[in-house]
Amino acid sequence: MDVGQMRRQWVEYTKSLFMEGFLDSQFEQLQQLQDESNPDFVVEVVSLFFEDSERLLNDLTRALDQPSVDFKLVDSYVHQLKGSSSSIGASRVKNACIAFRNFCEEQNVEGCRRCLQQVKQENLLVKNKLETLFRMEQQIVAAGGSIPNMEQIGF
Amino acid sequence: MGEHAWGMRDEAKAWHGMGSKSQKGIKRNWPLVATSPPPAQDMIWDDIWSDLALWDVDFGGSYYFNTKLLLLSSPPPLASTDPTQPSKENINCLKLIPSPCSAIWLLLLDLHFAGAMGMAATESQFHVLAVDDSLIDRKLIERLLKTSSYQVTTVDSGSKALEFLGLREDDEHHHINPDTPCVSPNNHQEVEVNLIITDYCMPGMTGYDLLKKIKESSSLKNIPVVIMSSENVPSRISRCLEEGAEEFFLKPVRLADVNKLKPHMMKTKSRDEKLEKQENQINPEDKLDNQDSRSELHKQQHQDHQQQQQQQHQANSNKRKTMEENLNSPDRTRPRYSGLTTVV
Repeated sequence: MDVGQMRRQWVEYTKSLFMEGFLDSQFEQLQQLQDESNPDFVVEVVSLFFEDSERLLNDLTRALDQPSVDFKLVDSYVHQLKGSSSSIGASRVKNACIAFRNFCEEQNVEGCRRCLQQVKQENLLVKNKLETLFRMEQQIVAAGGSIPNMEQIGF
Repeated sequence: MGEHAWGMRDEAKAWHGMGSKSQKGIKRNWPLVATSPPPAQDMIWDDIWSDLALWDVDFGGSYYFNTKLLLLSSPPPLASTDPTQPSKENINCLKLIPSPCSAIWLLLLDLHFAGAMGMAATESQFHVLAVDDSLIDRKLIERLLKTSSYQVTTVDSGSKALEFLGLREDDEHHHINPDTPCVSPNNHQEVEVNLIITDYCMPGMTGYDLLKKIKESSSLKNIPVVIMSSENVPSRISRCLEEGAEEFFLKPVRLADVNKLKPHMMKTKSRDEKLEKQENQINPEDKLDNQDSRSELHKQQHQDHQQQQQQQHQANSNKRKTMEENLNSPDRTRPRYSGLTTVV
């Protein structure tokens, strides 16, 4: 596959991630902040996010397994996850967190547990998607190409 | 004040972006001024000095310069036989560079700056202190600010921010890590912070608490504070604004938000330097501003650019000698950071 084809595939894939709501415009902001002086900015921030989300999801699982659930604690974890997911533009994770916080407010344990599963699933999904995207980028760079600029292609 | 690149061109717009952000996204911190229409020649000689000029020869008059000069010519290189026209022979210039200016020429300019003038002595930069307990958000805000050419320090809590500012945190209502070394205010006398941007929701001291501490402190109260929050709570926003915050940004913070910061820093800076009266100077580019119908972001950049120019107009109306004195004088650090022991 030539570089041009790889780049086109990357563009199509990126578009699909936005269309399907995995990513929102905040992710584009990250892309805009990446330049020659910071060539790995997006990967760095996204990796930080997944480290963070894994830790928070473990904390949440533990907190919701307690016989008496500390909803304030649960809410603070979800609040953090909502913040970091919105900072990288992982919009489906963020939306799942918003629903989660409503159940926290209602002190609804069952609702919270369902939401935790949903957040976990969305987190895993977007993780796989972004890993695929980054792999495509590595291949483009390895083949001597550059990553297309989403702004330039009018997205 | 270090190097000055004066871009003079009949189409000032063409210069936008060259000074701060140029081709391929490479950051350049050249102070650059574009004027349209160009200033009168006698004004150039009397009130402006420059180490470097970028000049479109097509617009004429450039051979009046007798400084280290870079000419930007369109169409490319001149081999003019007309003695009234500028050429390598009849002016004291370093290089003729073709227009449109390609990346390779910009690199050459970089080399020129780095070599001849020393990159260390860059334009006095604005220093922003960013406070956020989230590492991801610190990374993000740091990058956003650095992209806008600010010098950035990030800390993860309000108490560390106060420590950095040299304000001793003696208040016992707030949780302070006992392991945190108590830094003597004297260590921070040289630190100049032009703006503080802080998250609202943090464990221990909130952004609101930090704001209050700063506004209560006689030595820090003039530093503009901007609050960021992921939650759009109107009462929270008005509380912060009433307490003296300059802006309230909803998170995640975006480039368009960061572009709103400069006017707040300019205000404080010029107040400090007693240059208020010059703030009202009419900028010859005002007209161009209105014509600019491009994206919001572009407009913001444009405004930033203007601010930069304004600053330079102010700075350059002083004579070179004065500026050099200022450069070497310790007075450049604001006096408000001395005698911090009296605060709180």
